[in-house]
Amino acid sequence: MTGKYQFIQNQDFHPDHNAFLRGEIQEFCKTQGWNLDISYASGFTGSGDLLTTLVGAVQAGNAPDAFFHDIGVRNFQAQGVFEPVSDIVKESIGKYGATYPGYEASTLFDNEWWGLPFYGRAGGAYVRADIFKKFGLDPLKDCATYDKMRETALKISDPDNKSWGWGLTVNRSGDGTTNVQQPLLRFGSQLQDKDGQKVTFNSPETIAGLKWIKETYTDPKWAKMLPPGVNSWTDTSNNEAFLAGTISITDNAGTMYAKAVFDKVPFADQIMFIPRPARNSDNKVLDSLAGARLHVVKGSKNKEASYDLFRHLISEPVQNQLLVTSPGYVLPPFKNAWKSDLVQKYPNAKNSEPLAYPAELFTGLRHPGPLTPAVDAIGGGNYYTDMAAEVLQGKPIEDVVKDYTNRFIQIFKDFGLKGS
Amino acid sequence: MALESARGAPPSTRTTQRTGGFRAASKRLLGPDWAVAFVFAAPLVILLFGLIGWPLLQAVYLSFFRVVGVRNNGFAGLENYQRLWGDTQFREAVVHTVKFAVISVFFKFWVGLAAALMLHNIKRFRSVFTGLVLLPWIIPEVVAALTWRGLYDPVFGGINQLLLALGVITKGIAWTGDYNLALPAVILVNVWKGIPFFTLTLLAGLKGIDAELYDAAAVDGANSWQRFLNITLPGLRYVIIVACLLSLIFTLNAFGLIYLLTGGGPGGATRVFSILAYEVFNERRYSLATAVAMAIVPALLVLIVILGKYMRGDPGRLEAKESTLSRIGNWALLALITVISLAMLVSMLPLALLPVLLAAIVGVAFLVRGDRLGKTSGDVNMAWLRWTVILLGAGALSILVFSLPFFVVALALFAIVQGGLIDYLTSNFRRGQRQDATTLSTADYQRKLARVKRTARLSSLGIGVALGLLLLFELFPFYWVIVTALKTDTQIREFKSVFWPAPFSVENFRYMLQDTQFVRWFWNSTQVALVSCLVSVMVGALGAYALVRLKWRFAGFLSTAILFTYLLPGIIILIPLYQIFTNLKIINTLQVLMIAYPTFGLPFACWLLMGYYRAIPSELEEAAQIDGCNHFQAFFRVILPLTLPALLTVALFALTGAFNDFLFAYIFVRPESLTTLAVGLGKMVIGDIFPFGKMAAASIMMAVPVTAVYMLAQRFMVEGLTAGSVKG
Repeated sequence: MTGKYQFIQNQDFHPDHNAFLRGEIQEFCKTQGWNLDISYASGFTGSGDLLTTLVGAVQAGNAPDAFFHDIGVRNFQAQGVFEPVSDIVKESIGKYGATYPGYEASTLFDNEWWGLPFYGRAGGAYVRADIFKKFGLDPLKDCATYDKMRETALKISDPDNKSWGWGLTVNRSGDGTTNVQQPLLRFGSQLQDKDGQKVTFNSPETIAGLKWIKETYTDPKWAKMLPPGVNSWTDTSNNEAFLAGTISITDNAGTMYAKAVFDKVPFADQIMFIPRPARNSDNKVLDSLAGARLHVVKGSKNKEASYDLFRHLISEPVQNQLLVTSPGYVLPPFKNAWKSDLVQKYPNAKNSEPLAYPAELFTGLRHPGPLTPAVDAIGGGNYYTDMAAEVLQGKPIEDVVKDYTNRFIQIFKDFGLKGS
Repeated sequence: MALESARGAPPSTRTTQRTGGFRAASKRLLGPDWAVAFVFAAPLVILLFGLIGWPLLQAVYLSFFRVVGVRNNGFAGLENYQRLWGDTQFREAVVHTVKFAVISVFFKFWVGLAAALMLHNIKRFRSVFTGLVLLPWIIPEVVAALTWRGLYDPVFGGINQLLLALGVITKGIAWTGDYNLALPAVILVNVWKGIPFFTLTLLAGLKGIDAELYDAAAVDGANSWQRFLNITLPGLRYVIIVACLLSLIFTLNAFGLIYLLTGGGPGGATRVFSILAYEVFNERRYSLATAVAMAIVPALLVLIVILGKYMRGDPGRLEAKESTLSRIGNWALLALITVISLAMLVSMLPLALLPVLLAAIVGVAFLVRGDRLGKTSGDVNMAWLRWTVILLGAGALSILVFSLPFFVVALALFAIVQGGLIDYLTSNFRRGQRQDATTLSTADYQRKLARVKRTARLSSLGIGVALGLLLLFELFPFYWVIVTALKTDTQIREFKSVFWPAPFSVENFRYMLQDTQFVRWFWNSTQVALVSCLVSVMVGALGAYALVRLKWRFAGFLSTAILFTYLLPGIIILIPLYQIFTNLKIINTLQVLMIAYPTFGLPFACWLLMGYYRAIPSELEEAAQIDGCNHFQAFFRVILPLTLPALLTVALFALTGAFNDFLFAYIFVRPESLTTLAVGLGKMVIGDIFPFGKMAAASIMMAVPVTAVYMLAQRFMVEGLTAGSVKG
């Protein structure tokens, strides 16, 4: 061990989950005789400041040894923040079974793994099973496509009693970006070609998707299902509205579900996790899960020590305790553990397995090309929500799509790709 | 004038006795007090230029390359700037920034002035009321933003609930979700948070106006509006201009509040410069991000050179001669502005920006030719009228190609920063004074005075009502914070008992005190705040003394240059700063914050102290020197004790800044044992879940001691500001 062992811990919602992991890390380091310096990463301003901190620290030769987080890996790797950890990933897969294709797609590039899968996280569509039941609706069937989901939302809306079906915003936020991207992908919109060199965004599919979004938020036919001010929501708003019991369908990270369980919200057991609607053309489910990863920071002189800690953190006893603490929210990162009762007895956890291990992987925004920093930059920006806002304000959709395609081309070029 | 005797005056016989040798040559070249001045100004120069100036130059350099992530794809020349000017989002950001800044400052100024007038005229509980009005300024930005988000919530927010209850609306309004309402909503919060700054500085200014002037004017038959127009406004001229300029600079660079309230949305409705730069920065397109940030530099430079002029002294009373080096500095600024302006023009600068461009050139011309313009001060300055006509012409052209609102705000900006309007108003008063010099009998005088006082009593009722409304506006969000802090998570989540916690709970306070490291965070922030206060006070006091009281060549240029710290959003210089602090081996210590925080408050501190120093008669210092004191002894034994109120004011400003900062504390200090309050609060936010109740409780616990200090110290603060702001 060289100097202090410096570790950054991501805070997940569940306080018990955080406390347990911190205890495990502290205990392990203590038994190893390491001088541990551990700190939480703030969830306050997203990953931008964390990246700035780490880039600064790495460039100044003052980096922490390791950390875990669920951030997009590509940008961090492109900034030279990570050490490859392929050896321990292969070792772990050999011991615990395959990890998710989603993990692979988001963490393995340039022939190296840049993070070790730590624990999966549920995330996607959440609905109120009790309200669906009241109206005689089946969440899985009646939300199978975005059209069906919209119709269902309208049916279950009761504005007079402050109950609205459609808890999805397209305002500037992480959730808003998802809520624009996902319908577009279902309409067949593609950001790039299969080589990841050219932008292919300007297409009839993209235009059709945006028309659908415009219709949803501006056609009076759907007004009844929209909570007032839905397009002023930021990332916290749908959590707040869902937990207050005013919306019945939303799309979110599992934090909201975990919060409901932890706070013993009266309808917590009625919160159902379902796959997002399928693709219009072939009814194919496009979701794929990933989650938190363990990373070694570039320049760390304690890589072997980090590996020892990582091995402990993905060991069965630690993983089982994580599942017990946050059932249906934390998911096993490797295949073998999915057989455990700790997964199978919780419907939301069980429902996640087909999404963690889909028959055919769809890689989201990057599909069908590779994950590049340019794709990460576009996905992490506000382009999709800004585009939706312009459409909702009445600008011609074709013009908007053309304009944003040009922006994406410029970003591709900035990152050294052809663009067009 | 102290300033005139201190700077620019002919070298004294004492300093010219020796005409030969290095000493004499250096004194001729650098000024008689250069050696002492260098020592006094060194901490200021090292702190500001080492930590801000150097990274700033790096940023400028970066903007001419194609740096994306860790890759530098080569020299780009003006390409990054060219791309911006052709970009609709950038143009929108320009418009939003100008609208946001100008409208905010306009309302902050007028409401702040009204508040100051009201507070100035009340006799009882002035300290308490002033302390209450200051509250929005004290609480951290994150808490202010979250509070207003709660108030703006379209379904359950306090504002909609109130309006619904009053029957004003029938359906919740999406204040931050409507494309047309979002910017006004954000401006309102900025105004709310910024009023106290104006109130405090203007209150100090009012205190400096001779009360007999009002009595005399009243006796002369001036009504309250005329008295306001002819006494108050002219009396506040200097403080108005400096406060407006400072506020305009702060507001042009505003980031946190907007980011936390709307993130720049909906769409790009509230995307200002700093948000756009942050977005592009987060995409790791560093050169382009820097270009975005640098694009505002010409406008800021204009403001800064003018502010610098005012900080060095009232333009009307400036010394006749500028030193050669100051002229070189000013010409360098002119060259910089010209280069940037030409770059804009080359890259299809919209004609609508011409007014700003012209204002830049006028500003620098004003600097360079300040001696000539200075002679005309006090009357309507024909030069300004001439330039205004030229601007109107340029504006008319700009209307053709751009939009009327932009030109209007650009012109308003110009009018505010140049103070031409105030000059005009003051000239009326001066003419009036000359014309109305009449004699009154004592009896007439007493009669008229009594009538005026009767009117004043009647108007006190109006003052009370207006003050009540102002306090309602300023304090309603605090009511919301208190109510939120006393609710359980369930009550907050389900929006139960919206306006009153029933039952109320102290669980959030217990949680903060027992289950978090709140006390440690508070202690860390206190340490940082106290030491950074000390650094601000010491460095500011020494630096301001060197700039005002010592005779040396760089004083003029340096006075303006210290304001350069305002040129760039913090995010752009974080990485170079990180490396500097690492090399200094202070990263991950509280010392890094103790050194970094004063950099942002120093220009303001210098302004305050420079004004104060100017007000101290130079005879005191000269007497001390005759008694055998050197400059250092005279400073520490004579000058410093006289400036205690101003030093206290600087300390309190620094204290507030240190308690509020999130970004630097988060980036530069990792160990949890060293977490400060704002970062501690930030770390309570996990993912997309905000613990509103706990953050509200924490805010109250943070605000109470700081508010108490303000209430106790505000009398001294006003005194400190009075000399600095009014007697400049």
